[in-house]
Amino acid sequence: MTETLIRLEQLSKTYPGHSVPAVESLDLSIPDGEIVMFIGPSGCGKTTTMKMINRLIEPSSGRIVIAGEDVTSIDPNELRRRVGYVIQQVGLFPHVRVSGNVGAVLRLLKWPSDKIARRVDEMLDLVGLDPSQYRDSYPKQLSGGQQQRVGVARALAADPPVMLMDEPFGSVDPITREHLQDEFLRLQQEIRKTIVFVTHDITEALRMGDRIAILGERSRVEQYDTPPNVVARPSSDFVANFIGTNAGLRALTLMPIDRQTLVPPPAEREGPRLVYDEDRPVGWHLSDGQATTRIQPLRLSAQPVLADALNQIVSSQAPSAVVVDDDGQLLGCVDMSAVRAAVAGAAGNGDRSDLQMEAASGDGSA
Amino acid sequence: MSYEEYLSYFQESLLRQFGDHLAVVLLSTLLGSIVGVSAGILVRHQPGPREIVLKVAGTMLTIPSLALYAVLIGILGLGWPPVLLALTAYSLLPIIQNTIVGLNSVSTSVLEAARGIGMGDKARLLRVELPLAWPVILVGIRTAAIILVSTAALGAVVRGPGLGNAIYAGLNSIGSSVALYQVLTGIGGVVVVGLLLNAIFFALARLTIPSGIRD
Repeated sequence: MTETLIRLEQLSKTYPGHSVPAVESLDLSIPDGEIVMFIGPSGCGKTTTMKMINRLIEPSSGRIVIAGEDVTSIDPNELRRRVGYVIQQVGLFPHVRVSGNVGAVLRLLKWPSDKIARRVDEMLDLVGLDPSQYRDSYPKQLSGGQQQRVGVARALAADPPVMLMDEPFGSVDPITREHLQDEFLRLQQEIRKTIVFVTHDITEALRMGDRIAILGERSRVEQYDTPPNVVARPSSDFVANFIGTNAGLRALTLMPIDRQTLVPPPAEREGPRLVYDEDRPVGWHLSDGQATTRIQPLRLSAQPVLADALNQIVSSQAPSAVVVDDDGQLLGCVDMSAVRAAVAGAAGNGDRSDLQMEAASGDGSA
Repeated sequence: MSYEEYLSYFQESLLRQFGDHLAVVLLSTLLGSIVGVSAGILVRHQPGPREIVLKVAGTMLTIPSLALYAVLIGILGLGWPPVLLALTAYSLLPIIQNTIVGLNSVSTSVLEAARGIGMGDKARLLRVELPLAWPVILVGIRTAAIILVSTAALGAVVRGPGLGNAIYAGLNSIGSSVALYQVLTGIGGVVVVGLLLNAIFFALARLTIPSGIRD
């Protein structure tokens, strides 16, 4: 297990005039370099919890420790300059050019201006915006997706070890959102920040998270685990309900196909038969007197998941999906039994009490 | 005496009155802006003091300037001082009001982002809130200045500066050949001061509002 970067210890928040705390005695360790998704029903305190990490909301009690340093009582502005912050409404400064927005934290940190200019260009490149085209633009001249990229660039400019993201892709259209998510995951491969990401979208949580913290009332941690484990072994009915009824299908999108999953193609004499072209599988001969159904085999190097296999099975009507190497040579097949097993596990049809204990004792190490 | 003769005869004093009129309006608008914007900043988040400040500034506008001058003569004497003070007081309501409205309409997400990246209260006010509220504040200042252009004409009753003197002189010599010239020239001059101020504020808006928030 990787080292812990952020530790929340007995963190509580009671808003003035409320008798019930919004967050109560929360303990959570967030590993270095991982994306941890906070998800839960609205009003569960997930945003309050996140905002206590950079003390936009001051905790009523408890401690926040980042990289071994207790930051609970240091100057909050100092703290915030070391913690990147991205919000749903982006919050770019409309009266300042893109360069000024991205360089805002650096100015607060009193960097010399030539260094800021270089850093701004670097950041714009990093988020996929051509500096020469965009550095002098005003926020209103950018699309929603571009604005959020600038928001991410602003948060990353001072190279903070920690990023807090509050539904950052919540206000763009679904296609742009997916694009931004993919792009951000690629970016994360490079920058390896420790990220706390609040969302209410379970699909986003499963897709983006290295780990998911499912929070119940008063930010009680219902389950804290990797996405496949959360889907396959929900620790309670609360979590199972939260993931929803199509957990089985979601599980398929999370389960990679590896060499162990592969089985040989079906026997050639009877029934459907794999058709080769120069030793490379190209389609199925499903039954006598029918034309060949062409397929696009999955390349193992492209890291396919079980959902891809199911898709190929359904669209080709063949008994199994075909997986090849980079040269197009057959490696093996994925048949329905592998898919079924995955779905069965996810739907919780197996012996759950057993799995629950495993999930609880392992603290989510995967 | 023809109008041309009147103009050439009084040219020097008319030009001085024109310049004084513009100057007294600009100066009291400036003083009013300093006081009004500061007051607006101080009370913007507190409903109680905010109401009090707006009530006081509103009440000042309802005091007839003649009555105000009657009081101020006793304290400040004649000439510029009572006029400057009265005009400054009259400028406050639109400036304070627009300062509060402008500051309080800055988007909460922008303010949250500013806090989130570690801007302190002062930096946030100077670099985010005031620049974003500036277009609204500037409209308040312009409104104040335009109100003052006509109010300033009454300053002549306490021997104050400006074109009010021409109008006042005309009113005092009704029936004489130049009375009408004086009144009309005074009024015309006031209108020109007003137009000039509009041009000044137009230029000021172009120069001081960043194009990112200009519409």
